[in-house]
Amino acid sequence: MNTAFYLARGPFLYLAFAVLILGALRQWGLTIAEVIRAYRVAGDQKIPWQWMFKKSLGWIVPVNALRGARVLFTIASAVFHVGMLLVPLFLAGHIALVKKGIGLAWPALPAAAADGLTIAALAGLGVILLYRLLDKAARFLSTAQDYALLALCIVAFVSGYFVAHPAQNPLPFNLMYLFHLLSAELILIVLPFSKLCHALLFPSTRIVWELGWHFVPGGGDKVRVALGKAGEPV
Amino acid sequence: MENRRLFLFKGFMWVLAGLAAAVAVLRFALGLGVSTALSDTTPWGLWIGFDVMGGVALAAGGFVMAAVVHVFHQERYHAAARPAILTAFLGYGAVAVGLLFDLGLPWNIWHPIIFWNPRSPLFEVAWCVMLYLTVLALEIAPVILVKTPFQKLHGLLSRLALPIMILGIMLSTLHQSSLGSLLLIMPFRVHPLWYSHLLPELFFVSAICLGLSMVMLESSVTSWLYKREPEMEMLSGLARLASFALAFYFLFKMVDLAIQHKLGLIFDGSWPSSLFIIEMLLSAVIPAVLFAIPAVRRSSKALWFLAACSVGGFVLDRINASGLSQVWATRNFYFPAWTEFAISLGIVSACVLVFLFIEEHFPVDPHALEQTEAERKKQESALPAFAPFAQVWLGEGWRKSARVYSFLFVLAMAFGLTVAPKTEPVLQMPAKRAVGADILRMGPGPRYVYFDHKKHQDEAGGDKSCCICHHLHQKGDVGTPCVVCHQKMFLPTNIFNHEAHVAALNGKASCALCHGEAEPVKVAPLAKKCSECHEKDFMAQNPAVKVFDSKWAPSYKDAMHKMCIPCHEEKAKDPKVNQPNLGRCGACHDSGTATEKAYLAKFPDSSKPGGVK
Repeated sequence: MNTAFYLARGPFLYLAFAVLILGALRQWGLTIAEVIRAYRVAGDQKIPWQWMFKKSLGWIVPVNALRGARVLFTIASAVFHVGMLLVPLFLAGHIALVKKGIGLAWPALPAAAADGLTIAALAGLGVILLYRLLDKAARFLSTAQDYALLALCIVAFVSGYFVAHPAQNPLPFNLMYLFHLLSAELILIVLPFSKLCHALLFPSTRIVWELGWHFVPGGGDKVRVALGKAGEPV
Repeated sequence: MENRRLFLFKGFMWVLAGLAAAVAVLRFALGLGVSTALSDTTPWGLWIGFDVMGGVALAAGGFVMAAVVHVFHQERYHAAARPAILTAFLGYGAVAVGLLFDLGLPWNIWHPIIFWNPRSPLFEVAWCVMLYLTVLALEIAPVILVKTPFQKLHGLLSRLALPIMILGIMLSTLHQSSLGSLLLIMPFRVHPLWYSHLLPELFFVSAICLGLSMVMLESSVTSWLYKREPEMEMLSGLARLASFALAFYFLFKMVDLAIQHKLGLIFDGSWPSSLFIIEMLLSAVIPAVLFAIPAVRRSSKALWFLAACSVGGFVLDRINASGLSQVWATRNFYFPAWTEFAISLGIVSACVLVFLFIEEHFPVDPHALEQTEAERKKQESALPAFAPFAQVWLGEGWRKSARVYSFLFVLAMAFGLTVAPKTEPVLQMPAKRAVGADILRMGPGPRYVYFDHKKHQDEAGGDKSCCICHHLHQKGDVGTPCVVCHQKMFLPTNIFNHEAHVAALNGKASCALCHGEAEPVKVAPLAKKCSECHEKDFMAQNPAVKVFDSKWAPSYKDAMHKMCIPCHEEKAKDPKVNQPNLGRCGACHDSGTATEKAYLAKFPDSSKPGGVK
């Protein structure tokens, strides 16, 4: 237990951040290379940057989706994302640890706000999980990875809440702390390689989507003709 | 992926390169002390032995094949010449990179260009490396340029190919032997079995042998990787040449030892003698005998194995000569840290990857290029594959490779960054009484500073004045000298002994004494400050001594100057002291002073080198 605790606080934390930073650099490098390549083969190279920027903002603040069919899901997802971004980055305890480690510090959220956001994010996660389980289409599309990542987020938030409130903690403090460390580090490690990499790639999603519409119409058929495979199914 | 073998091999190379990249970051950020097992007594270790000496020797195939094909016109080896020259170019590139890791001040690597010291063997080595690397680049450039728009340059270099080739053979001959001359200057360090006045010649002959073996190994490995038929006719011809060269090398070495009356040393049973026997068996005896048998020369697997055996033996020879055989003289045990192995293997892997890339994309071996290009074309039309975890389209051909290899590289590098040492182990010194005498002789000599400790102590106020100069004392000691804790001034020093505190303060029950009850995590930065209990031990009064405000201590020179000079300058102004020259350099850095005479009267032998301190 002590060894696990030592590993989680020292080497494993180091590994998590090393993987996150190097993995992010790799993912960005690959994405930029692919976007440039897609741009070069695009038939129409005029990209409506302004419109794309607005559209991206529109997805970050999903007001329009509130008129859609999945209102509850939209709200839950937005609340969860706000919590997921603000709480880990602006929690007073986290900032204190960073300050101790590398000497950097920034303003923290008030404790009450952090608690509120944590509970809201947990509620959001619950709704997302229910949606995945109950909605037919969502359940069909879900893979083990989707459930595992949701579970990881839930464990990280729940254990984090109890680490911050030791009085309500049902388990030994160190065990809860270990759960929090391990789940959070696992999130950082899988982030650049799993679906979670949308956190790194969200600025480019619109561009990739847009470039897809700029490919030459019927380009695929020409490729098939060039390869001598005309008429065969892709 | 059609060629699973090649794919796995490249993946493994990328993993090794990733590990090396991690160690490289730490080596340049934190220095040699943290990232190697090298020390002042063993400054040449695996990196010099393997990366530099071995790298140069492994590159010998370039000049050997250039000579065989273009000077002796043995046209049937033509196919092996270009890959051999490419290997030589990459080998020398690896030498330059490996040297950057090993040099204490790598940013001064350009100094031999400007600051000439024609008497230094290293000067010759540096110039040979620079010139030969340039020549190799010119030799290999036409192969790359033929696929670029710079056709005029390509034409020019192709016309100049022969003179460049001859220049390369000359420079390489010079350089292979000059590495041997480098060892000539340490007759008392290199073990007698390796030391010889003919070291330059021995290095040259062994480089030819190694060059032939390396060409065979490299050709066999690439044909295995790309699943081609090994070019048996060429390989067995090379093996025949190698058996003559190896036999000559073995005889040369033995006759040289016999003339020096050193043959008996081979069987004296010591550690160097066993190393020597292993090295000679691997590098010369076994391959020379077996290469001479025609049946062995017809088997591709045997050639493969024997070439590897010979290459390993000669690399061991370079490591022995430049490092292991010196342990005999320094009596300072050295075994490379894993980080040193990681860098060496990583550099080799990077070279292998560059080699394979160039061979796959440029006409190093036109026949092989045709084959790989046909395969690439086939892959372009293959169906797309999906990454199982990221659910991202992997693309086809090299795009898939880029994703997989970069993934392996990133994971290996992160792992390396995590496990590589980030601090040198803090040395725990036993407490001991101050080593002071009345007069101390300080500095590296031969011009010492003679410091009248007793006079300074008396004038500063006797026993109570230690804290003016000394800051922190060890337990049971007063006025502990700097060197007891700051064994290396450029490293962070920490004398806190956690186990001793736990034991002295009643075991585990005492955690709360320093860490506090409410503190959920027991870590040093949150614990009580040392000075809360040890106030009387932190006695620095001298403004030049600042305890614990910096990770590193000043150098000895700075520490002494900052303590002595301000005080001396103040006293020099004091009319009561009446010594206006007290603040000048000569006040301490002067020979023939009364203090020196008093010291030498007490220790008459100490003026000679090796005398009493």
